[in-house]
This record gives sequence, structure tokens and C-alpha cells, in this order.
Amino acid sequence: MRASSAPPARTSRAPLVPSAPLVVVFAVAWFALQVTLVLTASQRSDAVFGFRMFAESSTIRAHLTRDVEAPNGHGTVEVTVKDGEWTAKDKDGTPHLVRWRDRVIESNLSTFDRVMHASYSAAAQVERWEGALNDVAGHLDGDAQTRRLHLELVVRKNGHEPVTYHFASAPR
Amino acid sequence: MVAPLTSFVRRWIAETGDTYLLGLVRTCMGAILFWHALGAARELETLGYFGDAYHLPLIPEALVAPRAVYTVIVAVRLLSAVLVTVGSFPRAALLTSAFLGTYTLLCDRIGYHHNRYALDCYAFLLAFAPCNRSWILPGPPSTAASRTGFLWAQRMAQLQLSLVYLASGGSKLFDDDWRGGLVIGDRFARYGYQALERGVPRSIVELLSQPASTSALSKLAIATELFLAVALWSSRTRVFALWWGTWFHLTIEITSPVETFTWLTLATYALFATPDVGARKLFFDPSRGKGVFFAGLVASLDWLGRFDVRRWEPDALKTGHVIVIVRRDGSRATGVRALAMVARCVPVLFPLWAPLALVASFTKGGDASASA
Repeated sequence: MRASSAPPARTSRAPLVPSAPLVVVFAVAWFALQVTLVLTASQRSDAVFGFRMFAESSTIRAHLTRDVEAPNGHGTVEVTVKDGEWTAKDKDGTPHLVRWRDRVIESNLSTFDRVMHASYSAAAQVERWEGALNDVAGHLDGDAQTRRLHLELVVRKNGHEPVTYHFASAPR
Repeated sequence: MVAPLTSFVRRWIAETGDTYLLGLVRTCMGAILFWHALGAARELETLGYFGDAYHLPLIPEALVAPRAVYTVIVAVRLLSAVLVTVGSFPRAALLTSAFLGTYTLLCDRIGYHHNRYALDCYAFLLAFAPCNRSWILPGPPSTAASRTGFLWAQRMAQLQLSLVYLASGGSKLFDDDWRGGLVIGDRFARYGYQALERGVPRSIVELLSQPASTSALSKLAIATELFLAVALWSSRTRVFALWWGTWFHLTIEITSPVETFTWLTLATYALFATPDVGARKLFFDPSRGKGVFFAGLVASLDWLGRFDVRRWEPDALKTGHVIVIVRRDGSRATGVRALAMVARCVPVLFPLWAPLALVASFTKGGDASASA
């Protein structure tokens, strides 16, 4: 090894002294925000930002139907939709395959007639399914036959007795 | 009242120490961030842009990233995760990851998961900690002096973990269904068959499915979360809390799909470990295969940098011992006690620590004094 007169390589970084008031303000603001989010989590159906792990063991089952014009031309009849898919004609009479999944990617919100775990609480899933129903109904551009969509949700919260919810989209 | 508080705040801000473990935690977080960013990229490729489908933004729709911007965000998240992992501009990359991850959650709450938000919180807080002084791929090895830094942000990340436990345990405590065992009972009723398929005896599944059992398990889970929120901070309870928490999370990992929550929490546990690089010595007998194997195993798995692994130094102990551990206080351990010591310090062997320590406590010959 050769001796050198060059200054020694820096082996340590002198830590910058943090500004105490800044650090205190930062820490107080951060934890005030976190605690507020945790304490207000019950006001949000899915308790986002609330760290409520495994909050429920609830299940949900969705069943979809649609109103179409009655064959006799008077009023509408309710038709069951299988697997979230149906064929409908557009204004020109051309038939199209309409798929719920084309608008709703999330599998928990696009699986029908099967009991599923209600992730992030039953209330969250009911709210999301209702939103999905209105979203799909609002995007039925190639379907001139469906007058309205109906969604039936059977929810069992933590093994309690099931509760049934009925939702209908706005008439078209 | 004000004076002690002021003194506490001063000590918290001024506290410095070895940041070796911060680098390790940062590397783990980088890998987890990458896993999530890769998942987002895959979803984008296979399912398409979320904004083209039904989504539930927590922010006004006008602020939701359009397709092109979202694609760039996913790419930046991937790049940032790599930078965090290898230690190249890691703090800026952590901050970027945290902001973009949180923004993504705000754009669509359907994609929200507690573990993803927790990851963003830890990434944000670590960005303010000197986590860029160890576990750096592009650079020279760190030294004890170069690793010294302020620890206030690390303490905030630790407090964040306690907050997660407190929020989770507290919400269960105030929920009648949870406290009474209904939630766990219903899970057993619906998923018990999976345990049977994995070979768990029917009698055990049936026993655990009894209302009395599910009630007891619920209370145990709640007590565990609340205990961990506090016990991780006390030097007297920390090791047991870490061990108990490790098994708690491993059990959850085996029984429930929780994405990366287990590994995120276990990585964060490293922040509670005492940073003492090379404070213990492991001497091994190079003439014996078992000694070489054991030394190699410890050296490769000693991610906390606890051991200075060396070949045997000639002394009176050399006869008969494959390995000898020299503890921080200079005392020596062999046999089961040495194994317990290794399990206590090596992360992947840590789940074995308590049973080994229990066995070791009944041994007489496991300890070897320095004069032996």
C-alpha cells in the first residue's frame, strides 16, 4: 500500500441537525391525520384508511334481472339475466351481446347467483353493487330493449339472518 | 408536565444511532412496492385502464388520472420500487412511491386494501429516515460511522405500526360480533373444509369451530393486536412480542389471502430490533462439515448483521464444539443455547426461538464461561 498525502476519503456523513419545530409539526400533523382517519372509519362503508383488518365475515349473493317490453306490447316483463350476459337489439334491430363485465372489472362485483365473501364489509359491497348497477345501466348504448335493470342482493352479515336488498336502475 | 414533554421531544428529535436496519427495511419495502406496481402493470395490460370501467374515486373525477397519465404512473412506480430496492436515490423514490401509491388508491377505492395503504404510509415515513446508508447496491460497504443518523422518522414508522395494531384490535374490541366470536365462527363454518383438505384432523377443526373456541380465539386475536401495539416498545417484552407477532402473522398468512401484509409487517418488525452489527461472534470448527455448513447458513441468513462469523480461534473450548457463540456481554454459548441464540438473531429462524430458548433453559451444559 502506498502512502498518500491526499485527504482521507469521507467515511461518514455528518447528519444534518433537524429543525425541531418542523419535525414536531410534521409528526403531529401526520398522526393527527392518521388518528382522525382511524376514528372516522366507521363513517365510510368500506372503512378506507381505518386499518380495520378482517372487520366482518359477511357474505353476499347477487341476482340480476331486466325489464323488457312485454310481448303483447302492454307494459314490461322481468327477465332473469344469467352470468351477467344477455343479447339485446339496438335501435336498428341488430342484436348485440351485452356483458356486465365489460363495465365492471372487479370479480366481486361481477359474479352472479353465487355466495361470495363480502370484502371490506357487507355495507361496502351493497354500496358498490348499487353503484355498479347504475353504472352498467348508464352504459347500455347498444341495448334498445332493456327498460330497467333490477339487482337483488342477499346479504348475511357475520352469520346472522340474511337480509335482502332490491335496487332498480333509472328507467330508460 | 410541559418540561418532561419538552425533554422527551428533544431526546426523540436528537436521537441518533446505527441505521443498518433502516437499509434492510427499505430494501424489503422496495421489493414489496415492486410486487404491487407489477400487479398494477399486469392489471393494466390484461384488464385495461380502470377509468374505462366502473370505478369509485375518492377524489373528484376530474382529478382521476387519464389513461396515458396512469400508464406513466405505473411505470414510475415500477422504476421507483427498483431504485428503493437497490438503494439508488432511495429516499426520493420512497416518497414518489408513497405519493403515487396513495394517489392510485384515491383514484379508485375498489382497489383499496389496508395493506397497500399501510405500505404507502411506511414508505412515506421511511423517506424521511436515513435509510440510504446501508444495503446500497451501487456503492462501497457502509461503516459504523457512515451509518449513523437521526432516528426520529424511524420512530414514527414504528409508531405507525402500533397505530395499525391499535386501530385493528380496537375496532374488533368494540364490535360485539367480533368480541363474541361470531366473525371467526362464521369463517370456520365457511372455510373449515379447506383446513380438512389440507390435512388438519377433523376433530381439531370441529373443536375450533365450537362457539366457546371461536369466542376464545377472538379474544386472543384482539388481545394479541392490543398487546403488540404496546409490547413492541418495551425492552422487557420486545423479543417475546416480536416472536408472538411473527407467529400471529404467519398464521394469518397461511389461513387468509392478505396480499403482502404479512411480509410488510415482518419487515417493519426489523425497526424494533436493536441495531448492533457484528456485536456477537460465531466461531465454527472449519475441520468439521457441520461447523462449515452452520457457519455458512448463519452468514447467509444473518440479514440483521448480528454475527461476526469466524473460524475457530484456538482456546480450551475447541474440543467437541461445532460452534460457539460469544454474546454481546462476552459470555459464551454452545449446544442448544447457541442454537437458541442463532434463532433469536436470524429472521428466518426466529419462529423457532421461543421453543429452543425454553429447551435451552433446562440445559446445564449449554453455557460455557470465558474461562472454561
